[in-house]
Order: sequence, then structure tokens, then C-alpha cells
Amino acid sequence: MNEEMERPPWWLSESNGDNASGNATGDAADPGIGGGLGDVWSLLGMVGNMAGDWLAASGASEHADHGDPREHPDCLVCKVFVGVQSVTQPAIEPEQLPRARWLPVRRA
Amino acid sequence: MLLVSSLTPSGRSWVLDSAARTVGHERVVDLGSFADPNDDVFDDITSAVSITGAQFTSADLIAGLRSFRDVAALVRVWELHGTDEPRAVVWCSGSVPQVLADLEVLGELADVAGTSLPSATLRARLTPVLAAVRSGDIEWLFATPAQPDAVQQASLDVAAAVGIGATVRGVLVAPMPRQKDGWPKEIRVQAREIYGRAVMDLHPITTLRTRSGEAPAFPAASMDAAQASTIVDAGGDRIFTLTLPGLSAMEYGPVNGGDIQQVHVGTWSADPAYPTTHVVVRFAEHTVRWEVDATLRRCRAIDAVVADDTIAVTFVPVQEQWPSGREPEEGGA
Repeated sequence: MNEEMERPPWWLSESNGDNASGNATGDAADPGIGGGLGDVWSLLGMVGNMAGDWLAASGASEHADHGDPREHPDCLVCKVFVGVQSVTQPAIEPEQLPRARWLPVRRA
Repeated sequence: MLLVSSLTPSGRSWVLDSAARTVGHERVVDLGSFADPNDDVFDDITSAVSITGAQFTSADLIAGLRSFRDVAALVRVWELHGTDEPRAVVWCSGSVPQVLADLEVLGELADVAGTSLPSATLRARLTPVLAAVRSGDIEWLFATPAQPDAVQQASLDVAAAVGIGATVRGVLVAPMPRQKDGWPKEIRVQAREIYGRAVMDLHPITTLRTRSGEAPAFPAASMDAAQASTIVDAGGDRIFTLTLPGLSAMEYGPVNGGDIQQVHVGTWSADPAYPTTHVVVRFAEHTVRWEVDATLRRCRAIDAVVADDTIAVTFVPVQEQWPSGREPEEGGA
């Protein structure tokens, strides 16, 4: 019983020797599946001075819900917007597009 | 090219065995080994991004972002092995849906960046990879253990992948607890039940499990698993439906132990001339943007219904979008 309890969950264990290529090398440091933070979206926010809210308004990042960037100092994209505005003027006037419109959702 | 990944380390060798049986060889390319910040794909990315005038967007910052490393690695691997016969097997230690989503976004960045030389160069490198993802020349084979939370997360990952147009070769449920390894009957029965549920939830995606210590091949060709259509109801409203296999896993409870269990549905416009260009679906940590047809571009969504793995969004015409003042005829644009 104790031995059973000390055993790791079977689904987290490495593959056993019965598997011909049992050379699992799990990457513990790897955030792995689901670890994505959408950092590309964040970086894409950096082009805001050129393309307005085109990408930020896509609804694909938390930033999409942010209005005035100065009110969201913890948001990378907002910080970037503030930074950009402080060091340069946009080459092209931002084109304001609507943000994602969220709908009332019913469960069938 | 076959991208191979596993939700947990325990599935790695099993899914690689399945991949080997599927393509007919055992050679494996590690995507991580191509994530070199000195790679010329990185140069193209940094050049394209730096034209925005954001001086602080240094190459170091970009290189430090895992998304760019993985996307650059995928581009490089595709350029080197994309046309290999038999198909190359590429091991991905991270999230394949995330890499593919980032690839898509980077492609959009290249488009947004305009006609500059750097953006054109980047676009030229990304376009073939994006086309391969959408055509099925790049497929994904994925492993998850037969454990409830894992299968739920795997199902949602699959829903995200098909939502961006990727083709999923199959899902391998592995490892399965075996009697010869001393696992009690109760656990073995539960694992088989979970596998059965995964088969149902992920239909029509091929979902197989290990049997007697053998990993199966996935011989069936990929298909377009995500299905979208638009119908006109009796009241003249347009009902857009999108089916994402795996999405029904949201009904099993909070994901990753969190307290959010909800599918968010909305619309978004990438073109100021139209009220709607995309339906946006956000679930767990994924976002799917699905481009709507020409008629729906000139309509406005009013509500959404989620049923199992299908989302239905009701659209009504926006009068100003129809010059004649008449609503569109059925099937017209």
C-alpha cells in the first residue's frame, strides 16, 4: 500500500522499458503546453504607432481590453505605447478601429 | 512534415513511436535545436519589426521571446525538411498550437508592416510555411495521458489548432495504465473511459490509444476538422456556426484548476469599412479568429450560443452597409 502511494501518478511517469524507444527526456524547465503568454501579440502592440489599434484590437490579448495605456502600467503593450509616445511621434496617424465586441453567450 | 508533441513527458516516446510507424522511419528533428537567435530568420524578423520606429525593440528583446524563437525555428526546419520524403518528424517540446498561432500573427505583422523590403522578405519566408500549415503539408500529432485534466487541456489545444486552420493528424492517448505494471483495475477502467470520452469529444479527429505496449500508426490523412457555415433562419437572421472539435471539453469544469470556465464569443473588424470581419472565440488560454464571408461582413452580431463543440452566432444586416436599403437576398453578398 505504501509503495503504491509513493509511486508517482502513472500518467506523469516516464515511459517504461516496454516501449522500444523509451528515452523520454522531459524538459522540466520548459513551460510546455499551455505556457504561451501571447508574447507575439504583445510585441505586435509595438507597431501600434504605425497601425493604430489594428492588432491590439484583435481581441487576442488581454491588452485588447485596455483603454488608456497610462492606466495599465503592468501591461507590456501599454508600457510600450507610453514609451513610444514619449520618444517619437507616429509616422502615420493611428487609425482607430473598434475593439472586439463581446456578445452575450448562452449555453444550449 | 509532421510536428509531434506531448502534453506530458510520459507521452514523448510513445508519440514518437507512433510518428515513426506513421511516416515509416525513426529519424526525428528537434525543433528546439533550430531555435538559434543568430539564425537569419531572426534577422528578418527583427528587421521587419524594427521598421515600426519602436527603437527599443531590440534584437535581444525579440530573441528573448520564446514565440519568436519557436517560429523562427519552424521556418528554418520547414525550409530544410519541408519537402522531405518520407515526411520529416519534428519534435516540439512546447505548445504546437501556440507556435502556429504565433506564426499566423507574425504573418499578419508582415502584412501590416507594408511594402518595405524587410517586411516583404519576412513575408516571403513565412508564406510558404503558413500555406503548408493550412494545406496539411504540416500536420500535428499529439499525445496526452488518459487523465481527466490532461485530456481536457489536450482537447482544447486541439480546438485551438483546428481553429487556426492547422491539420491534426491525430491524438494519441498514452501511456495507458496496464495490469502487468501493477495498476489496479479501477484506474485501468477509468483510463479507458477517459479515452472513450476523448474519442467522442475530438471526433472527427483520429484518436487512438496504446495497446499492449504498442503505439499505433495514424495512417488516415488529415482533414479539415473545423467546420463553418452560415444559414438564414425563418426570421431572416443569419446564423453563423463554427464547430471546433475538442471545444466541448470546456464543459468538464475549470481548466488547469482555475476558476474560469467560459467560452467568450465576439466579433472584430480588421477593416474599418465593415462592422465585422472575424468571429472571435476565446476559451481557456486560446483565441480563435475565424474570418467570415462577404455577406456577414456587412452584418452585426447580436448574440451567441455555445452547444458542445459548436458556436452559433446570430447576425443581422447593418442597413448602412446595403446601398439599396434592402437586406441581402439569401445567399447573396
